[in-house]
Amino acid sequence: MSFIHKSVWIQFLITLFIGYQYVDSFTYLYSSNQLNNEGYTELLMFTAFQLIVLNIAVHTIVAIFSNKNELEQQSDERDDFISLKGSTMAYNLLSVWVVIIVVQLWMSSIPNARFYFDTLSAEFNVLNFLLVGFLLAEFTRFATQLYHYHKGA
Amino acid sequence: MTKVLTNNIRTLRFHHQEMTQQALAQAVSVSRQTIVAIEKGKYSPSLEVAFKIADVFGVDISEVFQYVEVE
Repeated sequence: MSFIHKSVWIQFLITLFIGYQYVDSFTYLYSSNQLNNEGYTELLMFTAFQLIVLNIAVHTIVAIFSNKNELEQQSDERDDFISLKGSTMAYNLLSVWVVIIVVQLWMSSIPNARFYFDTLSAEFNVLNFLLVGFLLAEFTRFATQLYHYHKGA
Repeated sequence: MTKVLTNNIRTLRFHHQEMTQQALAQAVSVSRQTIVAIEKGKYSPSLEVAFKIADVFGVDISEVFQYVEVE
C-alpha cells in the first residue's frame, strides 16, 4: 500500500471518528439542555482542533513507520484519477446539501416553522448544517477513493 | 457481449530478464501499485503510460494490451 493510499485510510478513519464525536457531543448538549451559542462554539472549536491535531499526529506516526521510498513517491495518474472520482462524489453531495440548506432557510422563515434547533441562533443553525455537510462530503470523498483503490478505477 | 481491456504485462516482464514490477514502474514513471493494478485489470492506464510500457518491452502496443470480448 502506498503512503498516499495509507493517507486516504487515515483521513477516512479520522473523519469517521470526528463525525461520531461531533454527533455524540451535539446530542449530549441537546439532551442536557446545554445547546446554546456558547456551548456550540466550544464544540466547534474542539472539533476543528481535533481534526487538525489527529491528522498531523497520525500522519506523522505512520510516516515514521513507512520506508523512505514510499514517502518520497509522488502521486501518479492512478492516484490523481481516484482522487478526482472522490472529489466528484463529494462535490455532488455538497451541491445537494447546499440546496437542502437553502430550502431549510426559506422554510424557517415560514411562521410557526420548526425546522432547526431553537436554542441556537439562526447563524449557528446554518453553521451546524454546513459542518455536518462538510463532514459527510469528506467521508464520501475518502470512502469513494478507498472503494476505487480496492475495486479498481 | 462486452469488451474489456486485458494485458500480458506479467508475461512480458518475465521474458525481459524477469523484470520486477518496481523496475517497470520506475521506467514508466508510475508507482509499483499502479503496475499491480494494471496487471490485475483493475486500472486502465492512459495512452501515454500504455505506450511507455510497450516501449520498455520494445514491442507494439497491441502486443501488450488487447481489447477482447467477454461473455
